[in-house]
Amino acid sequence: MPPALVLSGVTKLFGKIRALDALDLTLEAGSIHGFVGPNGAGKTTMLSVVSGLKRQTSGEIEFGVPARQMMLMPDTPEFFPLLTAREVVDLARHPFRHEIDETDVASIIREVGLEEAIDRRVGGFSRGMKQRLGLAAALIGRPELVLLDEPCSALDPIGRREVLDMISQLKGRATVLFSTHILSDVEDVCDSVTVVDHGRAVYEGTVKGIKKKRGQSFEQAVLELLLPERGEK
Amino acid sequence: MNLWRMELIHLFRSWRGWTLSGIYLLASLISLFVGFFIERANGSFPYSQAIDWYITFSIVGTLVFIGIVVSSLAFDGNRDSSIFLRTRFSMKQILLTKATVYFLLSQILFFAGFLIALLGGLILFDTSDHLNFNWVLWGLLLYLISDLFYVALMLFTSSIFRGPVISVLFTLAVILGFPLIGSTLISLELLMRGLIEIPFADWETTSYVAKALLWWPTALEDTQGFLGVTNSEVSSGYISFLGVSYPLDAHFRQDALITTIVSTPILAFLAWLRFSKREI
Repeated sequence: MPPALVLSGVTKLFGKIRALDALDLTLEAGSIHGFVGPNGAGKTTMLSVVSGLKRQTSGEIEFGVPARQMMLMPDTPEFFPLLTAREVVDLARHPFRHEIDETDVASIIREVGLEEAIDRRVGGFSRGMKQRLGLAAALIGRPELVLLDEPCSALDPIGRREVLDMISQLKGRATVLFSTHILSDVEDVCDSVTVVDHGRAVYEGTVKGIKKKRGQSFEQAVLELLLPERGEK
Repeated sequence: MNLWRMELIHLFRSWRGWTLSGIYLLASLISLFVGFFIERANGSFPYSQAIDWYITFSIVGTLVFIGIVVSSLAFDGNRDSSIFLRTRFSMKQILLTKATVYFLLSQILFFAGFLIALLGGLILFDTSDHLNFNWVLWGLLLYLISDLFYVALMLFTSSIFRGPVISVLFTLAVILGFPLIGSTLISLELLMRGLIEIPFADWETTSYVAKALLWWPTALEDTQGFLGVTNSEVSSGYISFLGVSYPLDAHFRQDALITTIVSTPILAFLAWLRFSKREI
């Protein structure tokens, strides 16, 4: 199968700041790929560039899926506060209304654990609830490429587990690019990982590969990759 | 659920739509009250003047309307909710829906108030001098064209800034600022030329600044006076609107009509271009 997404030398400049620095990335179709790095490493910028919300300064992006089959969930999803959860997901279904039945709206809201709040206005939702709703809105169209920006950052441990399970279930059905700085989440669900710092990839390969290479836990190995980048011992 | 419904929910599940409806209703009721008291004082009040009063009072609705439309168009002010829209709908869909919903809403509310003032006036006041249907129709058409320009202008001004507050202020500055600055410049010019004593109605034929400003599209608003033209005004060849007497001429404000027709699609296109190119 051709890759779902290929980034070649993608650079994004904000004035003199190099948010992405000749970034290369290949996403195998049907895989779950973690995009790991500290705050300000360029994770959100990369997802914005891939989803077309920002334009790269240079470099190439090739998609193996149609543009409408790509969906982004931002790290703090916000919705129109006067809509109910059901209306938000139904609105998200609109571009796929010929393929996705209206009954799927309630079932995906149930899957993300918001069944009791389905007819409540989202203006009163907590950040965690918004993240769950964001996931439902991102997945309702059964996209082939899912871009998730720190999808568990506001969730409690149970919510985190549920969302990670949902992401795991996408394996084979969709390609997932999953940005986070919670390393254990990557180890749990991802097949491959890119470790990024200052907009540059410092590691790209399998999750298992990074362990073998260093003979340490995943977390320690990633930290060791990042610390020299920052000039620390 | 679709973008049309979302806009209507945005309006009518909040104060926005109801306040706007209330303002236009109030404008029509106040015009009838004013007419009632003038009739008691003078003994007579032609119903066509209730229309003139309604048009004057509905300016408040127009200002509130501008605030509501521009803040809705400032959807990029909240990055995350903007992502929700931009990743699911094309910019053409988003802007076209907003522009159409708000244009239709403004027409429905204005003409609902207009009808209340008209029907109330017909029941309550002197009906010896009827409205001239042809001129009212011409006024309606010019009102629609003028409103289309306003929607295009709001699309454009909203595309310049992201925040709703700055967008609203900028739009109001453009819409109100030009006539205000223009009036000041006209007065200064006439003062410098020693012509300040001439009647107000002659300013636009005397002042060079006024002549230039007649090309500015909002000058087309003066044709709202056509909505209250009576048969006696047709006979006299003059109309009185907002205290100023104008010759009754179908080509009245044609310079502004030309610039309105030319600039409306240009502003809408530029707005679409700016919104499309904006990075989130």
